[in-house]
Amino acid sequence: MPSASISALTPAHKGCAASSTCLTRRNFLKWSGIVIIAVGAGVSPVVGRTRFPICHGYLLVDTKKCQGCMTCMLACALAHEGKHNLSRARIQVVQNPFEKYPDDTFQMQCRQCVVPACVASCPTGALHVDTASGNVRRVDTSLCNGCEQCVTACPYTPSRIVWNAAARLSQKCDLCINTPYWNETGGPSGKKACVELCPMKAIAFTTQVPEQTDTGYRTNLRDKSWAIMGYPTD
Amino acid sequence: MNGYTGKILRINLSRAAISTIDTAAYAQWGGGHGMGSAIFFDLVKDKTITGLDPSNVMTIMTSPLTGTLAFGAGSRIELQAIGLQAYPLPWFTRSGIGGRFGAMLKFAGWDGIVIEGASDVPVWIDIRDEDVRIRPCSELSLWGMDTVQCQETIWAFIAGGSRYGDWIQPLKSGNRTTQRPAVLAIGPAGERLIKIASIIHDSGNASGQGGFGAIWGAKKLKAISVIGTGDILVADPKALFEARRWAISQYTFPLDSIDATKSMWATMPSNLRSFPMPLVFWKRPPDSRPQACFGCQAGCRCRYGDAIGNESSCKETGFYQFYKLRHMAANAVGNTIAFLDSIGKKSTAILDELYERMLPITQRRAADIIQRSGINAGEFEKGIPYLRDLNKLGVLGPGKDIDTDLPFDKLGEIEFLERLVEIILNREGIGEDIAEGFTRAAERWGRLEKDLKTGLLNCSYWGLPMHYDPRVSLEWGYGTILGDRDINEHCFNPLYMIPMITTFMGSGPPLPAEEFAHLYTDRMVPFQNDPRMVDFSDDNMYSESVAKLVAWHRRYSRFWKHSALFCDLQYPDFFNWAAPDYKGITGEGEPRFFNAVTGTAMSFADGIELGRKIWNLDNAIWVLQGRHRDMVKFPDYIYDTTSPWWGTFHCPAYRDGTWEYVPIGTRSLDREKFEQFKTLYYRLEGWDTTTGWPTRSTLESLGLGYVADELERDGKIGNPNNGSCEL
Amino acid sequence: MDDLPALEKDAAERIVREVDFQHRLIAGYVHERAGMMQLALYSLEEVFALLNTAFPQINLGELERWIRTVIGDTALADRVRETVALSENRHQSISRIRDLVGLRLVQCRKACALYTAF
Repeated sequence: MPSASISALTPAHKGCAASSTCLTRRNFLKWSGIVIIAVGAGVSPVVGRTRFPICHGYLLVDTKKCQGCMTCMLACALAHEGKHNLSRARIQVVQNPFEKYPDDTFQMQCRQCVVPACVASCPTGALHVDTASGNVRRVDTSLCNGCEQCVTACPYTPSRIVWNAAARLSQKCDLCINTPYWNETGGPSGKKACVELCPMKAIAFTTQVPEQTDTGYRTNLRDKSWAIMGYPTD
Repeated sequence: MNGYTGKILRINLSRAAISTIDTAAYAQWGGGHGMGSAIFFDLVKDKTITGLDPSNVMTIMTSPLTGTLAFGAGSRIELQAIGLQAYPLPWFTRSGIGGRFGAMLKFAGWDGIVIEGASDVPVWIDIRDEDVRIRPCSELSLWGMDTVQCQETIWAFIAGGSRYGDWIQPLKSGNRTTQRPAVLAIGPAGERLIKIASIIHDSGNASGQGGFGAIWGAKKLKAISVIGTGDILVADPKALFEARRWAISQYTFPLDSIDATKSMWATMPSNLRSFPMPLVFWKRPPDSRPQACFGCQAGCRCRYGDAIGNESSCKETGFYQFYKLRHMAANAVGNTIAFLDSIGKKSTAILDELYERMLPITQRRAADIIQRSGINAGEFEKGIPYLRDLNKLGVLGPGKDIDTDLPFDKLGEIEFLERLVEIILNREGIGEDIAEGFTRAAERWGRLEKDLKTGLLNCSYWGLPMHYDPRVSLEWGYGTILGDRDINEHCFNPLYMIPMITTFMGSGPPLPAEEFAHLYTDRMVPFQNDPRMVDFSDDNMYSESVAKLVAWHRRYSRFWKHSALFCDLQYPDFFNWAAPDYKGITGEGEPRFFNAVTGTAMSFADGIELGRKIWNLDNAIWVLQGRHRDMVKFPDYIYDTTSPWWGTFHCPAYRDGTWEYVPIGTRSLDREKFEQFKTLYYRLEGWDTTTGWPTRSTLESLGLGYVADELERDGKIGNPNNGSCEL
Repeated sequence: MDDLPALEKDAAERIVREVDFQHRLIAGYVHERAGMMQLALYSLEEVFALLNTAFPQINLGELERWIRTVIGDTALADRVRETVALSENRHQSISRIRDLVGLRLVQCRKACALYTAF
């Protein structure tokens, strides 16, 4: 059984910003790959003495297909909180209108990590694996003490833990389990607001642990229609 | 107030004073243009001031739908002020911008911005949620920068030591964001008071018409930056979700099943967009992605692998395509090849051979030049051919009557454009004239009257470049000359574009003429029982039916398009290729989204009626500026020369008891009959048919008695005995 | 398509020359959003570019006359006339004339070493 220290996932990663080449990130990805092999063998990843059952669902984003309309962000906050708020969207799209394609736009979704550093870092148990709902990594806001350790622990940039400054709470993607503001049931077996509303179909959902690359889950959602429109599909 | 944030930011640059206006005080106007006109009317006591006067007020308004999931209405802002561009009088006018500025302004907690006065020194406005500062440009050396440099410099300043891509915390509240601030900026053209200067946002969003860039220049306002982390409240989130999904499922083609022979038509304006196809005149490099305004379901521009031409669309992509084959035809030929590919036909050997030798990047570079400088592409589109014709005529060039060293041997290449922009920005030689716009340049050259008689200067209304020909596109031409600017509203384009294109291709229109007409007019409340509103044939073009069309169009646009801020590219959606019966979303969609967000119960007809009120207010402002019906005329060439549209322009027409499609591409307007049309129109609006001025009774019936008071004080209230009779 | 007669250098130079203001050809193109663009065309190259726009607005009879009397290319003018007569719709006319003009421009380039527009 593979093993690793959670400390290997968390050190000083905030200093390496969004770079996909930062050492900590590479270490994580390398290690994560080993975990996937283990998962494939039917084994839950272990950190220290903690077992993390793998999540039953993952959002996949094809950043090259994103048109930067922010519809996913609007849908996310609206479904969860009944209002629009970019800072509270659990998926973030960052773009630079002067940059060259494909480095002009990035979608950044929670990865529902096989080894969730956010969960491991939480001192109160607020951030937990919801075994009753497909092992989604979720925040129980009633337990959150606002320490932000999960925000810091997330190995990705920007942190996939969204900080609600007004309520001093952490929030994160729950695969739309708790979305009272639309007429759908979410969760791994339900519908996800960002997937449903993305007009480019640039967000997909899978129940299989996705293949990992240096820049994220390997995803290409650009199909024949994309090619007919004259956009690259490679 | 769902949809609204509840307050409007008011900034007086003369006094460096920041205050707020309660949105509720103007909520009756529904947002956007209506609010802007009402605020302008209240704050500008003397409507006869020039655009450059410090007393000129610019409003930048959002709508309740801005920043929401409302379909095709999430992004736009409406800018209004007394402009600089129109001739002979620069009217109180408008211009819109998409992108993400409006949404960000709402997230910052503001429904709009009102700018008064003028600063002594160049400044920019830094909005971070509630925290608003007027900052001197000197601290960042912004004055003198192009629009890209300016925006990037402001971004870096606001990020502080943080970097975009991570969460940054630019606010005292502790709220965080991953987003770059949204910035409106002027370039050197605006700073130097060039009357065709625009305001630019991000890479390709421009407020082009009106010369608003120079309005900012006169106010010494370089940029407004906004970063917002707050909420936009939605009355009924579930209804909004359902409306969005309904619109997608009923009125757009599935993205993954493109049918090139039909569904690509859904990229046409005034048809809900189904596919993210860019509206560009250049051969799009394959190394690109679509890019959309905030909340839009199908972007209409692109970003490219070399970033050249990012986000530009429409006129700025085509204004410089037609002067030297090696540069221009690369794009045209490229698009021909792409079109042949899309319909499964092979390009011809000749096209392939020619295309290989061409340089398809020139137009994209040209777009970037004017976006960075902040110059209106529409003026260049018609102005550069005018310069060329004058050069060929032998009156403009080195040592000629109009002396210039513009390198006409380089026309079509970047060198010519760079030199043209240079002489304008430096007001060098004829650049001093062109800085006033091409119509005023022609006047300075003593050519205006004769060149508007022949049409050599192709400015067909208020001295503004022709967009759609008033001799063919009646709603466009009449709407513009009865208004303030090239309306740039494509609402009824499909009415003649679909017959034109389908006839051109040989298939013919998809519906019989009568059905096609009814598809439009059945929803045109309160005139819905008159299908001849869309009969543009020769014997109906001055009719009361067309007057109703113009009135309806002005009303629809003033509320649903300019105030609720539904995108012109998608609304009104009368004819929809994706809907089984071709019946588009218009009439049902607009109020459904508006009410889901605001919680009100506005009907489509309510919006049209509110649009009438807004249109009356605007007309009153123009009258106070000096408008009289005698001024409402097209230039001579519209009456004296035949329109050159030899293609296949057709429209539905009622002849001898039956409906058919008839050609309308080559004709002229009749002066006397157009004057009769004006009388019909003024009567329909309840205005004085002798002067075109509104009457007290009409204004009071709309709750605009205070407007009538001001008109009366100026001696410009319409005489109710002069033929006004509201229909 | 392939039977346009070959050209001597002098003829090629004449055919691709820029004409003066009085002899310009008025035409235009249409784009559903950008609108109607009227243009004065001053050379056969510009005609070719116009014919490559999506919906060229050009009087094909006038084009034939212009090619015959102003440009002085009788063979091409004859082919334009035949093409208009034989085409089933305007798109077919425009496409075929476009390729004819393109072919003529290639011939001119080959016949005239000084002609370097492409």
